[in-house]
Amino acid sequence: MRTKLISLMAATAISIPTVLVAEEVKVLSIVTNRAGEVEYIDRVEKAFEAANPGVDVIVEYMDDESFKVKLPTLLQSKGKPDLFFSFSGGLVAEQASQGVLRDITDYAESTGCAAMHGEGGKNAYSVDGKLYGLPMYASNVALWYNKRLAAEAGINPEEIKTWDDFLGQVETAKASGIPPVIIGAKDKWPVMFYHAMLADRIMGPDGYAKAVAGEDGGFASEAWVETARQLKRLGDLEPFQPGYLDTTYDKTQTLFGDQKGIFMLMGEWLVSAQRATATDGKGMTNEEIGVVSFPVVEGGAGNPKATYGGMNGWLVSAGASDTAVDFLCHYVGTENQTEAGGLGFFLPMAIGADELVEDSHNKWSAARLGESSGHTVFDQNLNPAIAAVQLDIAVDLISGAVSPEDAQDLMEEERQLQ
Amino acid sequence: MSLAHTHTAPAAASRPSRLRKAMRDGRLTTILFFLPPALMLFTLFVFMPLLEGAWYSGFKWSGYGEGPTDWVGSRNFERLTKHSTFMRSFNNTLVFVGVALLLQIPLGMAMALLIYRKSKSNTFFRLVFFVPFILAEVATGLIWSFIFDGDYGVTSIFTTWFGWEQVYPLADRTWAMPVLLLVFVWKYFGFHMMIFIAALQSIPDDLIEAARIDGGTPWQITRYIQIPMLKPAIVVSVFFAVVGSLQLFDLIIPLTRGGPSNTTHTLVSYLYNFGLVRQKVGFGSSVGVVLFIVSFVFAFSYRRFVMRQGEK
Repeated sequence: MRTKLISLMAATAISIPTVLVAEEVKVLSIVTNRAGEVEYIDRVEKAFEAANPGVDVIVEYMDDESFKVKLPTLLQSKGKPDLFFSFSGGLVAEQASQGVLRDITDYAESTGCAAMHGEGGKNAYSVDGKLYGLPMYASNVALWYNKRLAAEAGINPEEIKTWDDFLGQVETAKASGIPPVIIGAKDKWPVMFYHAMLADRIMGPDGYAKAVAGEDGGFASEAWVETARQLKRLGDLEPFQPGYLDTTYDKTQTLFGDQKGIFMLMGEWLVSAQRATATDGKGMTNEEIGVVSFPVVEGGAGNPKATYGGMNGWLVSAGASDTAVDFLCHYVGTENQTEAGGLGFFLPMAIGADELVEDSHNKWSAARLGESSGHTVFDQNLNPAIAAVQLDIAVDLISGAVSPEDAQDLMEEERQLQ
Repeated sequence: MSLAHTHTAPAAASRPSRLRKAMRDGRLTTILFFLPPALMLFTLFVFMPLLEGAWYSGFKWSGYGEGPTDWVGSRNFERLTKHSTFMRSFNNTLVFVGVALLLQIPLGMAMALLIYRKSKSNTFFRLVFFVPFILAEVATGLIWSFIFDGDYGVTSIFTTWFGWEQVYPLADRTWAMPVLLLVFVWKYFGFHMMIFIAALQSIPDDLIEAARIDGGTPWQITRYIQIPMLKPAIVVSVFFAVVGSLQLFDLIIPLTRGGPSNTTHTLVSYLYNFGLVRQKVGFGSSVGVVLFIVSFVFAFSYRRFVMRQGEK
């Protein structure tokens, strides 16, 4: 009797863990500022768990900087996430070459998951023809402006076609006493947007690729120095809000929503973000905000329809289970992406997921991306070290701390060290 | 030869007896129980990372993969010496050390001399001055960045109230560093003050009383009795001030992130920014090696030449 009881207890002890221990899918995301998105992710997660009994999806959030710094170590630890957020770009190739990613090409094909995404999006998460993740949303950087302040300053941003037009309007606005441009130079990347977009307008889509390959003097080529010169021209007008060197991106959302300046070069997320962070809790309505594409530089080789922004999504880490890939497919699949687009969180990448996008500015951005001649992905196209130098020199150029020649020499010096 | 033999024999003979004594009085048991875990932890979390850091400093490595493979020899160190931002960061770190020694410690001592006596009001002031030290560094940085925010912060309230032009000291290349130094002094002087208060309270009252009876003025008592008797506390305070300044990081990131234009980096924030953030683990490790050498040389020399003198 006693032996039977012990056997029964042992059998129970062995079977309990198999019942209680669920299969975990660990997801590492960056913190999202879009109101309601965390709740949306919770819903997506619960729906997947309900459809897959025994699966527990755990989503962890980290701020951008911590995420970037901790990821290399995390991916080599036992507690590594199965899926993790990715800005795409050059880092994907580095991660793939180091073997920290899972090749999901065949699995995503066999489950029909890959077919839900266009080639452009998938290319951002592929290296040498192998698919390592899937895209979730794209973003488009453009010049947003405050219609009321622009009218008060006597300018019409709709007329901006060239960089000189823009500088001319900035000068007029400055003379009126209204800060023409809001910028978050403490975070550096908002300034880098100008440098990167000017580079694209001056050199066209090959500018980065040629510089990375070291052609024509790399990042110290005449075209890159000209890019730096044009950015310095903007800085020389002293068009930014007071204290811009100590202003974070988060604060610029508030400043824009509080109507403290006219222009802001940013992604379409600014429109909802300024409403969430304005001091009065309301910010500006869509009708109060205007938007124009980044101007062309006269004589430049760039296509005016070329776009610049993010192509964000998810990567699958090496050793992740098929269930983790299934969750990714569910998360960035057409159904959930359609809902996310309808809720105005972002511009979804899944095919046909944009049918519920209603926000007028999101629609405008989607249209620009739709007719884009080429989409450059933020600084992530560059090696992180070169990208960091680009951030530094962009701020130094607008604040007059470095000459265009020296700035580009610094970038080239970093490239040569790679 | 014979001398050596004569000397070693009693030593060898005394060894077993010492061992027996240690076994009897429990010292051996204590050593066997407590030393291995401590040694293991020290090796695992201090010694091994130090060696690893030194090893990585000879490589070019992004931090991904099993380990570094691209050996570059002393190139990372050569780059450091040529990088103007590193030299500035090194210089800034020395400025922090200087300010800690010339402002923070004297201020802590002055405050300690004012409020070391036991009374209710002194207890209150001690708490007030010690609170900044208890605050987390990141919280301190955020509080002060709010204070110096010319648009929405405390500074803005004052300038608007008086009708002055808004000021943005953290956005100014000239003023950002002095602001950091101000916050640095404010944050840590309370720590030194507490060390001095403890030391002042241990000075016998009858000594002060005797000096007073002999006609000593308060300044003379402070100058010739209290400050000389504070020497052991000063020695400890200086050690903590220098080591703390060399490791300064948490205040810099929330306040300036090393800006504007990388003018306010310290050695550690430089390491973080130019090593970890840029995924240049080898380069970052070389900064770590420099920091270790500076800290080690200071700690060793200070212990050897200053603290040992104090012990005598």
